[in-house]
Amino acid sequence: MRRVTLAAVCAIAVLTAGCGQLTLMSDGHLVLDLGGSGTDVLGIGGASYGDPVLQAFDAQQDVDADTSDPNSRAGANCSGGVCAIF
Amino acid sequence: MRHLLVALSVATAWAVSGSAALAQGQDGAFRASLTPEIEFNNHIEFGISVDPSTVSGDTASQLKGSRSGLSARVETDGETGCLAYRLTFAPAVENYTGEDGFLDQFDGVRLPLAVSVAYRSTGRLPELRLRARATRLTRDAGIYDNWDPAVEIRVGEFASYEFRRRVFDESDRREDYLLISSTRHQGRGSLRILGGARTRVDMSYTVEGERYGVNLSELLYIAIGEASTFRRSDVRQVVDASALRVLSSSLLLQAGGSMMWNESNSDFYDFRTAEATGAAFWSGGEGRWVRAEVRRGWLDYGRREFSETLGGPTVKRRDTSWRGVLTTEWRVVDTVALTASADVLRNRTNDSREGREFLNYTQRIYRVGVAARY
Repeated sequence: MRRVTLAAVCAIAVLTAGCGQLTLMSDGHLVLDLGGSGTDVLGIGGASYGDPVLQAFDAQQDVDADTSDPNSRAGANCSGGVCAIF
Repeated sequence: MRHLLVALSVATAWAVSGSAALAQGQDGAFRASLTPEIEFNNHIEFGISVDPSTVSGDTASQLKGSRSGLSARVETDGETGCLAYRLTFAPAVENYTGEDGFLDQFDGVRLPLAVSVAYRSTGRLPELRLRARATRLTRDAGIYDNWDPAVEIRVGEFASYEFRRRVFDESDRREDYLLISSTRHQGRGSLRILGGARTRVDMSYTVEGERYGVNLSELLYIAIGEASTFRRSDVRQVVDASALRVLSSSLLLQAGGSMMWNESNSDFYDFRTAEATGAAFWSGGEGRWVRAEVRRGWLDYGRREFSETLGGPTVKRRDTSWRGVLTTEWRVVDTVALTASADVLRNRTNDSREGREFLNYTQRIYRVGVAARY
């Protein structure tokens, strides 16, 4: 199952790489642009980045990024399934 | 609890004054926030509802109560030439109520301090960021007290390596690997795919190795079938992918999937998980948003088998879960926002043996808070 998933991910990456342009965005993301988004290398992001709803979406995910650790469950109030794993 | 609140206040005041002075002195920016919140939780866990149920299965597996918390956050950043820095201090204190005072042992303070320095070249090269953080966690029950330092090197937002060490104050025998010191190395790579102006796909691959201490309870060594000198070591791989589509200037939809494989040097801790997610995000202007999310999870233990009857056929343990989360933040004035969330998780296991009922549960967490930012 793991090999199949990894192979699928690699296949998607290779196939899409043939159709698009790999660029480095000013926000640090490595982006494969399949066209139409108007990205530019180390410049201002494309139209999708300027969408207010997308900016709001990204902003609420970035909160506490520096001080929180999503993998930290010791002493945390963790969900049962996850606690049971480790 | 009172002395913890005093300590938090002093630490916050010190951080606020120090950060403000630093920001003013170096032409940087300074931000601060204060967030009181209260939460109801009908299934509080602190690493004691572990499998096998040597601890909680025979005691209180379904702890119900409320947690009131107060967290502060002070942050300052600035730039000098090619270098940019950011200092973050985010102390939090939490107080538990319920179960006739049993939950008081979980009252605690969390003190995370993070420092990051970024190098930005003038050419077409990605930013290099070095980040160090350390968190001190203390609870009334000293068994949870630990230091959690980590160092990370990040190339842009697409590659990173992190070294992390968790050190518990005492190394007496513990019933849970969550309460044992460990060392972790983690590498991560990610790629973002843009399909037109309104479609975005984020993919990532993470691999990590974690090595644990040896102070596990003798009972658990017997349960997992290893000698008491056994040192657990895991290799974890995680593949994530999520796609989002902007439907309008205020609404977007997101769908994603995630798989994790854990290979341990003990068969008992081999497992894999899969998760599918669907989410909708609505923005009603700056600082006002609502997010609804549904998750479906599967957990399979590769070799953790059980038999319902002595000598009967063996079955591999398998859990499934549904989870729904509704979160909102609503700015009422420039510096103050109300926050609320409802989180319901329903977990079911195929392990039908007596004493494992605690693995079938429905957890409900409701939280309301106020976030004041300056």
